[in-house]
Amino acid sequence: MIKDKWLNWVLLLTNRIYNRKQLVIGQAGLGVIYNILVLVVQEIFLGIISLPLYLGLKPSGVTVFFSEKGTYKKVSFDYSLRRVLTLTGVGIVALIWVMKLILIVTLPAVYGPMQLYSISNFNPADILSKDLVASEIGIQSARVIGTMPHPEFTTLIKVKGGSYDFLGKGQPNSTVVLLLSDQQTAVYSTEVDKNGNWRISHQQSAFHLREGNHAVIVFGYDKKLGVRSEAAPEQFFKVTTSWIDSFSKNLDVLANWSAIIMLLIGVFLTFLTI
Amino acid sequence: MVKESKKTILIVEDDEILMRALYLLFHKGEYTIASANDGETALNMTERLKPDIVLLDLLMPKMNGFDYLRSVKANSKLKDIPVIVLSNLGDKDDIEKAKSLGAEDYFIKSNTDLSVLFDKVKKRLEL
Repeated sequence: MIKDKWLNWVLLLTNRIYNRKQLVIGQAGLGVIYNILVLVVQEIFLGIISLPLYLGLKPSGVTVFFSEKGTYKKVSFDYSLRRVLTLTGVGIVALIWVMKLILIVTLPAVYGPMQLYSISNFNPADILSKDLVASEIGIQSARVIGTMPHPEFTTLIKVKGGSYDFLGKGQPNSTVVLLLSDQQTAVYSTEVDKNGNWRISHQQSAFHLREGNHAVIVFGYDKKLGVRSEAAPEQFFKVTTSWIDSFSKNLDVLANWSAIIMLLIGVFLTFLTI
Repeated sequence: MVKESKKTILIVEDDEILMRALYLLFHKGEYTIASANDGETALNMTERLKPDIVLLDLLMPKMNGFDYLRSVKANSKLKDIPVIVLSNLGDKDDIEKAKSLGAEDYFIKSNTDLSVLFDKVKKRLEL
């Protein structure tokens, strides 16, 4: 039953493509562009739904007459350029998207919230260290006010594409400074919103955190008064770069390009068959 | 060589995807299936193979379906072979022309249910 419906779809679509081509042949102006675009979409769709016809058939049972040889012979169907391209293009793109789907479904734990931990006997990072970025000299020289409440760093999320999002709470409309340790220390600052939430995004492409443990320190800062709060308890997280990360990144690029590849194949096939 | 115990269907269709779809459709009936993708080849195959039924597309390279029908029905050895048309052409004139040339039935691709076509061919082969 399903097979019959599918074959009917193939028949219907080949008919629609034929009718659309007749429209294009007798047309001029912008309507041609529209109809060619529709043709491209139809050819792509036909390529996709007809793929099992290429994979599932056993052409050895087909008898074909060769006029030049004058005999009957069991042969394979001819693979025209158009069909080979369809088969190859659809196959490659389908493979890319299947892999992407498998990654999304089976490996959700790769991305999302990360575990934060603290080491009580670990010496806190020296925020006056010369490793700090020079332009943040104001932060280094700020006076510490013990009564000034410090913000909280509560959540770290690993974001697909090589980013880390640091989230926390703080006094609304105050400034939060976040120090992120690597060989050098990255300094970020942001404003706490009116609901008391703050978020800082770290892009691996801009400042690459190496594999291993990294310390995070946050404190409040008032640039006008030149004061800062005491630092919140130092917290740590571990950066691990698995093959999944690089594979996923490459697959994303391929998946994005696949849409363009399919469009180009569709355009090419359409012009071949008009 | 074609087995004589099986009924032979000659599918004449120039669209390879549709040819494969029709092959898959009739393959389940365990018929011997021959295929041609233009009118000239179809006529040659009809003369040599003498199929039990022909499923014919009308718009094809080299020789169109109307000329094929005309040639087959003009040949005393082939004229009794039933020909069923499956075509994109849906005009009344085309249907009447095909039937006047000897087509036994006419299916328009845009509104054909292939299971109906399969049943039609099956019943015709059982006669």
